[in-house]
Amino acid sequence: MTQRFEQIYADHREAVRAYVRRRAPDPLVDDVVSETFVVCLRRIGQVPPEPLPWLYAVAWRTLANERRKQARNTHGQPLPVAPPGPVGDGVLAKAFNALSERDREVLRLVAWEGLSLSDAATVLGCSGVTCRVRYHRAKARLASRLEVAGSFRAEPKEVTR
Amino acid sequence: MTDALIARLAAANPVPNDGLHQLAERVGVRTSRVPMRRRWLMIALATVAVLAAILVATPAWALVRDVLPFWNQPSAPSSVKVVFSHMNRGAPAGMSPQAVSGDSREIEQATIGGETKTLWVAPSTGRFDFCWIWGPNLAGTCSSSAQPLGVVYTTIPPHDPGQPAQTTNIPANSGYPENGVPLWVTGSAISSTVSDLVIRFRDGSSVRPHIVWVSAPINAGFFAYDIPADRQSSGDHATEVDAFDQNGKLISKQTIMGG
Repeated sequence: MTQRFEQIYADHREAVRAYVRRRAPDPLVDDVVSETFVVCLRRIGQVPPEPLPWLYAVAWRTLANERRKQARNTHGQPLPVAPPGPVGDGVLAKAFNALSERDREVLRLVAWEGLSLSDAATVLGCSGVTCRVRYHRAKARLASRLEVAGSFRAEPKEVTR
Repeated sequence: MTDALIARLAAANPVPNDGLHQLAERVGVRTSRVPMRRRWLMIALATVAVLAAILVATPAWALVRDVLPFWNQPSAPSSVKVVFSHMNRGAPAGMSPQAVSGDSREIEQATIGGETKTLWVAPSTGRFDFCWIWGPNLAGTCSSSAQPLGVVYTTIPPHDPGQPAQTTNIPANSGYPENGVPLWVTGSAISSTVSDLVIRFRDGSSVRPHIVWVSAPINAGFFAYDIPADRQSSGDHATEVDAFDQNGKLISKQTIMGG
């Protein structure tokens, strides 16, 4: 058991850390990563053969708990340091940040973590079909916002005559 | 359209990784990979720069002391990483030492109280520079370079003779009114300021504990002194730990409250 944990930790620590850094302000990162692996160790018998999506799901829940705790401590005020968004593309960042958190997360999982929709569904705790629908709607909403900003033009759809 | 959109989002990843290139290739978008020859040149130049920086930045103490290279030490087992994680989780809001449990290392072993104990050290990214634990079940704390000396001592408080003795770990200078006499003293000293340590006893005698110096990112020395049985009496116990700089000047004194 402990040997498996050691292997999971060695193989996926950097990926989990990167996942958390993409979603959390720096002061929270170490705590969330540590807690994710504490949960992994406690539940090592439940970790699936491909552990990374499962670890992302744990990190996501841990981060949500941490945000709630911080919100209580700051009496509902926003965290002093915002989580990171897209970099190097201001128009994209603005459009992305205007999406709902649910839309942003499914897009992050595919674009930043490079997950398949099936693995993204594991992280999000939904079925593959639901995840696919959620993903396509999120992409459409992002494209729409970029088109409004004049920064993206969808390829014309073929019209059957 | 959507593949181009996802590729654009992938290129704006705030924490990029190699997966970016894989994803970009998957969706048919070229990314600006550095050519292999140029990468090797960059790696070589970076290595030279790092070596030069180490030579320039290594203070004189590192040239005369035996300094243990932290990153070459064995990684801590998961059970110890969990303990460091709990240090973070158990702290009040905003007070987490932010010990990087995954980077914790085994530093040395010593016989303390008749048992083999291991020193584990983890770098910290918070207001402390590192955290340390003598385990199993001994003492530990977190320290910053702003405090040249950190000392934790262990006593057995007075107890019912019919009950087993329980040891208690107490930070020196804490003013915590603990009865009993120190059994062993552990601590850390910051490399850049401390050169020597002295443990003093009530009868005026003193000893110099063995110090293990550890390289960056820790930059500190660690000691664990197992007080001999004949010094574990109320009339003859350890009273303080003194830290001296390289000129022999006293720079920090930690008082042991037992006795």
